[in-house]
Amino acid sequence: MSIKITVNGEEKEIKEVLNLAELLAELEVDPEVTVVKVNDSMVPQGELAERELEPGDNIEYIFFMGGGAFDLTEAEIERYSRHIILKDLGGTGQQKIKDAKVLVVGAGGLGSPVAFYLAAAGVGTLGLVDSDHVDLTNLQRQILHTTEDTGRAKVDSAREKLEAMNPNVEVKTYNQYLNKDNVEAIIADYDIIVDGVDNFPTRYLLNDACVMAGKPLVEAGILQFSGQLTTIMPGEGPCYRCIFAEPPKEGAIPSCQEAGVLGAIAGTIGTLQATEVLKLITGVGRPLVGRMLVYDAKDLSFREIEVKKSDSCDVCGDDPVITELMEYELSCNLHQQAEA
Amino acid sequence: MARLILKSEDYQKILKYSLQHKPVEACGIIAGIIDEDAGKYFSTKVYLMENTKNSPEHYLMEPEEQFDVFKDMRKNELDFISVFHSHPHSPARPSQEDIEMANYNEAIYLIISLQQEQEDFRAYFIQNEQPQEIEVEVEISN
Repeated sequence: MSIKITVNGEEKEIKEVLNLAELLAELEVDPEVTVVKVNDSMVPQGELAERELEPGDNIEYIFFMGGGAFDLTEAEIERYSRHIILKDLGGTGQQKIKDAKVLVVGAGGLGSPVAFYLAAAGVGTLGLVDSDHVDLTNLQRQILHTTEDTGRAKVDSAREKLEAMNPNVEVKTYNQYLNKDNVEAIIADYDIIVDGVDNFPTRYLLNDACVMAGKPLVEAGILQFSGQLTTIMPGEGPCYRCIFAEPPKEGAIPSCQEAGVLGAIAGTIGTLQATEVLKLITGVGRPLVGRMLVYDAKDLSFREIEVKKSDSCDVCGDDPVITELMEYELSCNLHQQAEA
Repeated sequence: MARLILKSEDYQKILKYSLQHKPVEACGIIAGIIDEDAGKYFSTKVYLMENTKNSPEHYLMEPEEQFDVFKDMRKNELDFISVFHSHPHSPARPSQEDIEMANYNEAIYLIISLQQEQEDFRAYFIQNEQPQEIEVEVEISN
């Protein structure tokens, strides 16, 4: 015996007595994602099999329409749960971290904690630039590397540790020395740049390149028992040259072998750099734009100095004179203040 | 390649609704005419729907509202073209959740990203959990 029913506005003839669950199965409709009405009344999912179809029944069904902005897997939600429950961060913030691309220039004293914490946080793409090899003298503070890594390329040693820390992070390495011919192409793929370099020529090159490309730069340096940190936001706050117009003169500061640095300071300042990067990515808090944080490890104190954008800055001022990338000559003495 | 063709006023209506709801996700349904041979999907009517989740990270439509919309589409002999929703803080690409909840195999899933200053409209077919991007064109009215 056949009966005529209507399904979503279309007449259908069904040849045998079916219940709603059987009808949906015949239509290849998944009841788990479907809401069904019969003659304008919703039928709960659990009762579909009990409702037999009758002649003239008007069946309507829709599928749930929903979704979200999350790209986090269950495992990622668990891994980053301590971030996600933060009211200021949430899943939205964690998604931003996952979508972010951050370049860390220098896989040494500062670069190590920065990279470790950004990898732990789940930054989606982490770039590392360093042309150096691991040396025994590095191991006092460059915690990405171990004794076994001595002699290895720093970027290779670093990538291995970061991927072990968090396999969700894509680590891209650049085993090369940053110079005016490659810096623009390298930084182009990244949203935020972190300065962990150990020499002034590269520091100034990186500053100039970031200003010209409009890329935020989290800038830091350590020496002996002190450290400093600021965030350079091109167009909004001062760049490095606004604060220090050019590198110190040769001989003005101790040589790299003489100065030394307390290893743990790299951890303190590098971790603060990672914090700044995460704040920039998520929009949480107030970045250190127009402010320089100066750290004294001997009495464990921080002080904040206001730093202003200079209208006469050679690279970001009203009439910039540095309009093309330039390089200073690298000498041993210029390794100071920037020791990472 | 298949193409979603939005009337200029429909584009603006969707954009305005999405911006009004920021930071929460906005959602809706687009009806119109499907030219299957040419692979063209023309919008003629936009239904602005309530996001019952009222969340910056999720959206879910109210089934009763969906029933009314489908009834209206049938009454006006319109084809069901697309489901749209906004991503206030992320790119215009389907998330894992979007893919899992893409229950209409033949519909276009339009995502509006408000992450940058310039909005980004991108459209996808999502079948067998595989998004396939298609073109979005905005038709200027005469």
